[in-house]
Amino acid sequence: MKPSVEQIGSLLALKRHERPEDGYWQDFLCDFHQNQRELAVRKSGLMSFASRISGWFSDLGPSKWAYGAGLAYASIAAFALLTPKEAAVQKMAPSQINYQVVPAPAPPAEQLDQLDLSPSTQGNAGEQVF
Amino acid sequence: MFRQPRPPDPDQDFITRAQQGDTRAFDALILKYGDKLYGLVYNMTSHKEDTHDLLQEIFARSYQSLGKFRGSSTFYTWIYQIAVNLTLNFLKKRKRRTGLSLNDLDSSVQQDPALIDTTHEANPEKQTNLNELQIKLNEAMMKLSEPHRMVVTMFDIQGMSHAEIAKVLKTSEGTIRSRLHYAHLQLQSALQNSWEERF
Amino acid sequence: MVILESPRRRWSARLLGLCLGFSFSAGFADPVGVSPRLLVNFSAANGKIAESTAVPVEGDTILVVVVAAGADFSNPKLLQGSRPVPAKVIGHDPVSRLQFLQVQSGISPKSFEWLGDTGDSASASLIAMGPGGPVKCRTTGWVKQVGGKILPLALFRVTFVGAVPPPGTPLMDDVGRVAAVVFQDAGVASTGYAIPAEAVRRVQRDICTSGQLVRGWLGLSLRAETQSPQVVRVLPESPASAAGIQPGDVLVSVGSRQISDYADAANAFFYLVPGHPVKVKLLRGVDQLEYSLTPTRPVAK
Repeated sequence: MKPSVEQIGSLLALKRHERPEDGYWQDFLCDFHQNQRELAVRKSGLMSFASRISGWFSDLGPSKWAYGAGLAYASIAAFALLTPKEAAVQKMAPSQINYQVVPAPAPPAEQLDQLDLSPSTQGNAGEQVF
Repeated sequence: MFRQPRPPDPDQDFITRAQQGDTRAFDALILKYGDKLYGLVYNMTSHKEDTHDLLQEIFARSYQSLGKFRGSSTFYTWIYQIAVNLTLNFLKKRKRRTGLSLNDLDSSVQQDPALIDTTHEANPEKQTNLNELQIKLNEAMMKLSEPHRMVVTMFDIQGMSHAEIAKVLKTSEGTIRSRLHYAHLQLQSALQNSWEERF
Repeated sequence: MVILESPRRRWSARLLGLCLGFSFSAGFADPVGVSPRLLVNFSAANGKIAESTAVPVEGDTILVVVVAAGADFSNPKLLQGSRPVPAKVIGHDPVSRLQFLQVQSGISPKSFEWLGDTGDSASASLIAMGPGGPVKCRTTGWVKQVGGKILPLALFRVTFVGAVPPPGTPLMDDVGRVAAVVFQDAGVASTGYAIPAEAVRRVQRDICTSGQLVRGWLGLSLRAETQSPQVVRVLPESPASAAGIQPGDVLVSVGSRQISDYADAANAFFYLVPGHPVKVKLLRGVDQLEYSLTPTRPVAK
């Protein structure tokens, strides 16, 4: 005979009182703090790298302006070279772009056609019509 | 019309202090809701080590995101949602991992059928012991799909209402009721052979 | 529905009597081995021979054998002991790997009684009528999928006392009815898989009338990778659409078989017979509904 839904509910409700063992949460908090400290160290590692770079610039003294100017020039030059000149760009007629959304094809229906206990992926995926 | 003001979050004080960097305030929240979240995760994963790791991730994620918590729901609902999402993602990944290793079978080597085949558990003797019934129930729970196991965990085990579950899972109460109904039918069937009159 | 379990029966004494009765029946070629057993040899890869015990199915001189995976089913050699016996292939079902043979002369096998339905219970004490004599065994569960792959029909998992008998070996209940036949050795710890009697009878029904298994078709689809047996599509002009089944409906039972997942559904659908109505219970939202569907022959794609 089957248990009633109420009986199932009562059995499940008993699990409401399940708890981890004593002392679990103290250990949990220790692990949690440890993880947070390690995360903070990792984050501060990245921050200190960034601050070291900016610190290097400020330590250069007057020559920092030369470095700064050189860096700026290099950036502008790279930008100019990489940006296409308007005259050289052929103005093409705007093409008709069709953004029709095509649903991805359904995966092939993998139909298990034999009672075969050897391993394969057949029979564990796809839509099967019965 | 005037809307009824929402009752204040019982944890507002802890939240504010934790947002301001008071780690002890967040510890208090962990201790307050830890058992409930433990119950949720453990009933879904049935694995203590995974539960521990997942809880660490849940609390870490919520701590990191505390600055973005605006109070549109209570803190408990908010962290519960994080727990649900991370647990479901974890179970999806765990299933994929298990699936791959099971498929790696050499056809010439027969594996232990207990490892590779999924069977209805045989029950030659009638169950007379509540502990044994609980074991059967746990097995039956793990056979439910994750969405079904989730609603049973939240409703039957944790005692949440349909409305609360619907809010956390961001779905309708009708869907929750339907899933519960189906899950109960499955659990009834699974325990059929184990049930005794006096239970 | 017949429940195999009978823990109170002391079947050993009864079975001994049964075995002796089998042995001394005139003109009877029993698989026990007291008189030469009926077996079939199939050619397999690398020049090997795949062997199956041949078991009479109810009522006449028709035998059922299990064809090993990869064996050549087109040229079976029926033997009684070592003596060849002329036999004709009636038909072969590639899904269940069952083959049916008609004995043409020389022997008159006694027919066994076969169980009609082994029921939901998957735990039973049985006796395997192996080549060396009766072997105690026990079914310990249903096997619906192997290695993540769902089978087209559910098999029994069986534990034997001693070595697993060859494919085709009948497993008898305590009143001498065939409950299953050995399908394959699982290769571990005296465990094997067996095809339930109702599956053999289902295949026999079609093979012996038309030479091939004709599945019952409902015109609904499920997806193997989803957990719950939820209808994905209902094909137009199908028994499912005529009955009013809708996408999203969740199957609860098909005939007498409870459905808890896709594999259960695949197994239940194996037993559908065209023209034979079947009750289907399902869940739509919170409502449990029941429909009677009459499967048709499969619709050509």
